Amino acid sequence: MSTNYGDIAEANLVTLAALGDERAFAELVKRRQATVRGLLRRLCGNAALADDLAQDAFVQAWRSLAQLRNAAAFGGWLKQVAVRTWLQHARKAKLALEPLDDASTVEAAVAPQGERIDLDRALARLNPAQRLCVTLSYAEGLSHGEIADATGWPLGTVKSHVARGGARLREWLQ
Amino acid sequence: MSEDTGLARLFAEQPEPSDGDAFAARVSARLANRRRLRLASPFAAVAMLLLAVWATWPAAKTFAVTSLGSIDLLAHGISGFFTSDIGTAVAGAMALSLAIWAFATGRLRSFLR
Repeated sequence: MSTNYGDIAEANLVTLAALGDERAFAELVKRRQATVRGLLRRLCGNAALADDLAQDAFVQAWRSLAQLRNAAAFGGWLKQVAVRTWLQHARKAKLALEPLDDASTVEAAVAPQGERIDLDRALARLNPAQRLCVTLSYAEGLSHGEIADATGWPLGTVKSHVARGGARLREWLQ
Repeated sequence: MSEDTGLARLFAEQPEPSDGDAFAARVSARLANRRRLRLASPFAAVAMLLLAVWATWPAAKTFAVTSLGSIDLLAHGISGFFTSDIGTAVAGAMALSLAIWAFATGRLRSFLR
């Protein structure tokens, strides 16, 4: 008798996958791929690169799954894995992840006067650290504390990135 | 509606990536390749070692005898402690602790994946 993995609750799939069941993990990938790919597309602004990083994130998740203590926390944990994957990529690509002073950021990122742009273009104009914090806050609904946990950045830095990045997005999207 | 809610709504309206099944198939293929590579790598390492020994004989024999002799000397130096009762108990406890830690934290399974 073959098992229909589509009918199994996610927490049970996580437990099976942690024990080495690849078909259970494949079902988890099917269920969660849209979230992870969507998150990484917003962070990268490049669908092909985002899909490559999403694959890396799922491979990393497969390797580390046995260390997940609470199967019900899989969704949040997977987002953290995706964020860490993107941060590794950003460091390799030498993207500016350190907090920039406000003047230099505005000069680099401001939209031309009076121009109205869409969300993707507006996100692309934020510096990478602000883009990450704004995306996790507004798109994924993470609290500032959860973002600090996922990125390893101080809470004050995260709050500042969310506030400034959010203000710029609103300004450009108005 | 607050400004924050407005931004969150804009994000929520973004279209989701399509072709999810194809993406899941690519991830499964990568995991399968990884598994095959892990299974094959010890055999490849042994084959390369044998090839290196064959290519460098008899220098490989001299090197092996010298190296093993050094390890043998080192082992005899340490064995004074580890052949005593307390040394055996300490070594056993350390090995058991390491095994329990690796299993309990999932690191053993992560390592074997």
